[in-house]
Amino acid sequence: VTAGETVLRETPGGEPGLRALGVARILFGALVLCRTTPLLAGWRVPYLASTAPLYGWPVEGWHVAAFGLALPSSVVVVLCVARTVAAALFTAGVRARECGVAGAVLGWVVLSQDAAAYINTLHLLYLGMAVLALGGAGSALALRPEREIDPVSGRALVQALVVSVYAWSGLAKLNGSWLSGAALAQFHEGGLVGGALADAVLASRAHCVAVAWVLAITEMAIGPLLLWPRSRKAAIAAALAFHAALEHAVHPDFFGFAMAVLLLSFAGAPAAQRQPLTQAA
Amino acid sequence: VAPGPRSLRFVVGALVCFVLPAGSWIDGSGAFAWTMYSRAGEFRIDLVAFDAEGRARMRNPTLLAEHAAPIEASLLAGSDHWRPGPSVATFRTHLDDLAAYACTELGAAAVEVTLRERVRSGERSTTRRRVCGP
Repeated sequence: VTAGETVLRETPGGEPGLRALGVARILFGALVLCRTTPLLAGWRVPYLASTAPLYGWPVEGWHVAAFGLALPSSVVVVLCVARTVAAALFTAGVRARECGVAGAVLGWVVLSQDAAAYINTLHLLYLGMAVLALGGAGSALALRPEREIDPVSGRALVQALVVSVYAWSGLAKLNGSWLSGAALAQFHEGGLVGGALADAVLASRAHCVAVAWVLAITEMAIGPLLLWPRSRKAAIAAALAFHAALEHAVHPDFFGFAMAVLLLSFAGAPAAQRQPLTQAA
Repeated sequence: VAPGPRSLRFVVGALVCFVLPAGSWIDGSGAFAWTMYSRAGEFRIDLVAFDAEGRARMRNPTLLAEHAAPIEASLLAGSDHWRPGPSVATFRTHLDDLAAYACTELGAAAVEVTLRERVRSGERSTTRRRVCGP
């Protein structure tokens, strides 16, 4: 190596970004398991009522499968069990890449068996599991760590998902129903949005309009602010505060928890530090 | 030459962050475009049963909730009048299936199901008529 060249220097004790993804994998896998198995059934949370014996277990009564692809009940039962095993192995870090992707695909297939049961939270849980698996989250804090040769692109993949969720969600709110405050007012009147915080900030139609604009702008801004290193910490704090407020007012299933875990992809140092040879030696 | 992880991740990222959401946005459902809680809306279902002589009789769609799965039942119950609901795209897509189910539940010669959705920009109506089998 000659003077002026740069070398890649590994951070002692493992790459911080990968460790953050490893933590995210464990927490995210735990979220998937808590949402799709009866682990938290004792909490009597309404959206966890359908997790026994496993989420997506064949139900009695008329329902329709997406794309008309209805599977026999016995097959759905096997898929539910296989999804749970795959999610558990992903969480533990055993063949995390394969198990994460398999768990997500199986989850989507089971979800497709009752089209009306589709909710964004489950889509995010399965998508996040697949993206973390493909992003190298199995290379740290795993029972069987996988070799990761390109941590930068792995972390970028997870970050891209986070940014895209905020961007699309913000874009979706650029409509008259939302920006006029009508949607928020209806949600508030219907009890979908409630609690002391919501009652205070949605007290009048003018308040609804203001809150609607603030929320749309916040969602549109979080993504770019996360990507800009100088504003990253503030953006993470703002995003966590945003989800905490939504959790209090809307109880949006596990969506906020899942996004909070995925935000870990923005934690930690850059994947590798390029330093001049003279400093690296 | 097998693609490296960077190429694979780029393709996956493009699919899940752009193609999938944009596709569902374009098809009108927005199912994969994170559109939750983004607009207000109301819906109702008009259900008409016809006997063998072709006489029409309005029926309450709540009747269909009894033998429906829990989520479908929660949507059908009380849908004879306007109900708040941000999206019933699934019902719209599967209105033929709902009509077939109504045939079995009502024992009619034919049924006509109309899903009416009311959003800020106006009202949308989707109707399916089905001749019931023996």
